[in-house]
Amino acid sequence: MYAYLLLLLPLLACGADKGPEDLFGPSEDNLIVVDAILIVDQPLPPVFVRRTAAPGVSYSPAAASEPEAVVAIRHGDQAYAYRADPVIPGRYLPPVEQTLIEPSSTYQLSVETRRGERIDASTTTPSRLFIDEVLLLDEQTLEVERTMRRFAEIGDEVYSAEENQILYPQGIIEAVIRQDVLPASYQIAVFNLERETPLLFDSKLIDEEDLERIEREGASPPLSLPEGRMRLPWFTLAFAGRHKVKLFAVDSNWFDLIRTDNLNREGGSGQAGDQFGRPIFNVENGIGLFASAAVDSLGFTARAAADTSCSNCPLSETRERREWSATIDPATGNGRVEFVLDLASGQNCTLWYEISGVAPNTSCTMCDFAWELQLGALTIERDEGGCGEIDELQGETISVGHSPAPAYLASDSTPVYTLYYGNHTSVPDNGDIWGEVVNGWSTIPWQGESAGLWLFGEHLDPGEPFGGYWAEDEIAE
Amino acid sequence: MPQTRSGSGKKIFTLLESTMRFLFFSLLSLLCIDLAEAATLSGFILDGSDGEKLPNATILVEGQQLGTLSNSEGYYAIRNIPAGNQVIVASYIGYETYRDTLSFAADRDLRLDLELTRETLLIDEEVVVTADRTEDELRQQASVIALQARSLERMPAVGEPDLLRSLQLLPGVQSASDISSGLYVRGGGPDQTRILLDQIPLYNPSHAFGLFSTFNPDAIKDVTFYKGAYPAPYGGSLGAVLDVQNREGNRRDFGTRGGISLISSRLTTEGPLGNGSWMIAGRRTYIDPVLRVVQSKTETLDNLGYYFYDLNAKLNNQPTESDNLTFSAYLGRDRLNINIGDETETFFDIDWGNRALTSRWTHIFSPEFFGRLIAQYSEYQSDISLSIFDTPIAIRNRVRDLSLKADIDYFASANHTLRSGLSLTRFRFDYGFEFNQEFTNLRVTPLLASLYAQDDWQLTPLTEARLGLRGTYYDEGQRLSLDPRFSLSRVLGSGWRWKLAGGRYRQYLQLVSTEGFQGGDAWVPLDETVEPGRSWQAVTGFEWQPSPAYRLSAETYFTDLANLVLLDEDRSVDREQETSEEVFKTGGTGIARGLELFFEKRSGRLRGWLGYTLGWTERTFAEVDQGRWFPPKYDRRHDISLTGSYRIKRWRFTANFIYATGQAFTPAAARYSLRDPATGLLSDRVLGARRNTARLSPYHRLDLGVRRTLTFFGSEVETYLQIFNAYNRRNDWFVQYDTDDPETKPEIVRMLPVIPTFGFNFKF
Repeated sequence: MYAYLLLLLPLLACGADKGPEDLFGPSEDNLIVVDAILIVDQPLPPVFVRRTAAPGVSYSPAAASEPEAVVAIRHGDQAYAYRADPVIPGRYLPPVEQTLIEPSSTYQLSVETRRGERIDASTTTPSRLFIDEVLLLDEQTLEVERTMRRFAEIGDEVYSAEENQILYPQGIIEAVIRQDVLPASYQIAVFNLERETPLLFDSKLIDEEDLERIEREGASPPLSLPEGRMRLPWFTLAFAGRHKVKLFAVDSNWFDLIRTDNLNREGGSGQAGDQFGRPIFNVENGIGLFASAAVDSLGFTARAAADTSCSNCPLSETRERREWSATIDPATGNGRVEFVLDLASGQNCTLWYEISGVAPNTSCTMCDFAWELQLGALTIERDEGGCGEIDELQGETISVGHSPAPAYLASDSTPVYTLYYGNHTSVPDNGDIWGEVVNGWSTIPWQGESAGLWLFGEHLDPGEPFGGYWAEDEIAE
Repeated sequence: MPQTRSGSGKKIFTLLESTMRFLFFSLLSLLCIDLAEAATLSGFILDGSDGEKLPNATILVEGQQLGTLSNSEGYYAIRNIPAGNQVIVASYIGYETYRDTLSFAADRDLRLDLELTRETLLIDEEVVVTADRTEDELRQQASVIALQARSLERMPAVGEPDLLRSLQLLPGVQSASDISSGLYVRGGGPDQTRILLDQIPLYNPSHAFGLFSTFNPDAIKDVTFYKGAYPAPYGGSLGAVLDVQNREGNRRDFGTRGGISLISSRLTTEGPLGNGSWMIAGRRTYIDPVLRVVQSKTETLDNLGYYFYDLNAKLNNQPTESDNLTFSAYLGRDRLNINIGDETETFFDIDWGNRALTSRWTHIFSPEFFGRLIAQYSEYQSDISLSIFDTPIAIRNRVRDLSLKADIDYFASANHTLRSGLSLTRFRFDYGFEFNQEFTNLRVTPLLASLYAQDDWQLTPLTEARLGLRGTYYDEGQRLSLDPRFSLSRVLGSGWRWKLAGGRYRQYLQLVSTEGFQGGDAWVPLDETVEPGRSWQAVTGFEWQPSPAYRLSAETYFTDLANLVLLDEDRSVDREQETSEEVFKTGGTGIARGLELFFEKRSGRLRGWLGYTLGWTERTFAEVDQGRWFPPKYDRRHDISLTGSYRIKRWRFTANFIYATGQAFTPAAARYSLRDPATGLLSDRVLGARRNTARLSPYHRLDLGVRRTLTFFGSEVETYLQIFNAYNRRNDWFVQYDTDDPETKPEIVRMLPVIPTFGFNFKF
């Protein structure tokens, strides 16, 4: 009897279970998050300034952006004052006139917010990095099977060069590197430059659902590469097609962040206990990353073991072309929307509409920004049975939006964002129904010929009617 | 003097004897022990039913304030017994008290091997043997628990009775999760408890990734668990020592016992051999066929296999009255193999286990001198081979140690029992790593030499002291250390006893472990770049035993830890880490303090205990959380455990209930976005708050069991049904934060649900 009474005592002492709100710590919202990466021998990069949000509230990077900050990067006696990007809130652009990032040199970032906060960080850039040789080794004997071609030799031709056609899973790719001063660490990033190519292998472990989750970009943990060579494991490659491998020699800030960042730990973000530490940011009065790296790259085309049909032709060129794209100057609203179709059957179409009017659209909650575009004058360059009803859109208004976070990087490292499309509803004041354009893309380059322009478009799936939802009627409730 | 010796053994023995005699001569001269001429009584105390030697049994000369405890081999000696008739009383919990009048002559030594008879209780014409040894026999030492395998078998468990899981029910001992058999003792991690099987260190005492321990309950004879402030004969851990002795085997009859559960079967057989005994015990899982069925039902796997087995064997022989030879072996292995069988040649193969061999020679040099010479070899290996999408990876870890130990017990007088010994251990650690045809191999071979001396000193009839000193030399960095140990115990009257103990402790080997995956455990030695771990421990408490049936104790402990290390996961993955400084974050300090209450009912139909621990433990590392103090995740403010068994005729009902404060974890304090610097892709992240500043929900669990004893063709058969986690409490294991949606979602990963198991045990 007493034993049963004793049994009840601890039961009474049991505390209530934790609800989701109990699993958050004391909020550290409104910390400034800086985000800028300097690459040796490249121009000054944009600087992103955002704030942290309390963990229990709805968060979006766009809403977290910090406008009206005073941002500057100093290098010796030189100060580069940044200006706010008129299109992307929280992004600050470098001055047009600038020099390239120097190796083994110290740069300082300062950010002053309108609340009077001042955030400082500094980075010392690594020395230049060179990939002197790219070799394909025998996976058993490690003997050199062949020397592959480098960007330094033939540029983008590396993807079609016969030496750079890699058959899964034969050989090991090894890069021989050279650098005068050893950096804090190295990191590799692998980019599959295709968007639609199949898996390199037939794996029982990967089903359709998994396939959608596999990303075509990925980065390694920090590496020391003590012997001055980098070997690429096969598990870093999943899809067929062109691959660009960037090797970064990183500074101590970059190294500190990736070695302590819980994103790289098992269990994902937030495992309880000893696994979940706070990253080392090296940002005074804030968090984030202000870092630098030297980079060199190698490129090749990977093919599935069964693919022996083509020895040196890039996969991307074997596809039919079925796409539309748009170019708009956010400052003036000028631009055009172009449609291009080329089918193996010989059908084709190339036409464009000038944009006759633009207006902001605030109904897209998932967008960083969204606009309504009115399609104006039509120009048909060619039409051999491919344009269908797409030449009947003059005067229509379309709604498109740009995501706050990039989805992937283009081959030239330009971040590519998700594109959203809004369908008008017939219900007054109900706004638009927004959806992601599955094969869409959106970007605003900050340098080059298209610097500051908003570029977006869509690669249509094979078999999808050209024009797609563009020709659909308004959606009834 | 020895009666028989062989050639090589004689040389070793002579060396040992000379060394030990020198040591004790020095000690004795300091202690000024009274060596007046008088009679000496000596011998072994044995279990009358099977001849097993009984350690820590009490023997005394009634009315003379002369008495002692038998040593770990059941040997005792009482000196200075006055001539004439004397009443000798020997007792051991669970056995009938021996009492006899013997006649002693001056200057005459008398050898008396006592055989104690197990107590029996007649219950409804059924004979039920009760022979639970408890810590009664060790009561002069604080923080020690002694258990018999029989007690463990009666506790509800997941599938198998398990020593380590049963120990987790004691106050001051916690587990990390439902699937972990690791011992977290008084705020220390699992590596801070040294686990010995027949005095051999077991480096990974777990099967099935920590779900079960390696100890076969049928093979266990005796378990002594020092939760802290352990005495000088032990060393090598900052916290606790678990000393498990296997059965030597039945010297009287052949016997077999075993059990069949849903997970495994086990069989132990034993019997006499000449003037000795043998014992062999084996256990193996049989979930392989189940896994094969699973594999055949899925197209994903080409092969899925897992098993573990362990084998214990012991051979014991007493060639003369003064000599005893024991050989024992342990072999345990786990193997998991998963083969996907597609063109990517993806597979996962892990193979780990311990091997241990020991030979022990004990010798009675004279009635008051008892010596041991032990040679032992222990090996732990862990091999992980896998290939992920045609990228081969292999990790191999080997720890081997070869030790030679010599000890002498000297029953110096009625007031002093001295023990001294030395040991030499040569370790060999091998670590190999292969990734994508790149290889790393490291080998370290440190030497550890230890020397200790200890005096069990009866200060007054009511006060006992144990004073010890342990010196160690570790050749990695030429570390020399001299560590004092002491304990004091005083009887206060009316069943009350006060205890005090403490000492300084060192740890030279460090466990590199991944929680929830103990198969990948690796041990590494600390080298000259890092100071070995150091702890100071102090324990004091009261014990009240109003009757043999009840016992209540309260004990407080304080541990000061220094030179702690923590695996440094913040380094380049391919950097060769050749020194301890490169492998670990170093220079950590910590404290642990707490209060333990323990109430035990030890006889009658209802037995069990109630334990409560109020504890605090904290750590600080310069490189962690800006050097702030933080609680490790196993810090528990409150921990309550209740175990009970109730017997009705042939039925026995058992229950365990556990309640513990939720484990510490680091909560999210903010959400933010940052680009991956290498890919440029923006990702949402959570910002961790200060380390381990939040708690998961409290842990509680009820296990139930029922056992029925049957007699089947003259053999004893016991069937049982056990329910682990009877009310299906899904306790929190850890938290993950999902940032896929704008709302950050904490997701709690849960521990085991209700698991019923059944099986039966037999004995004939």
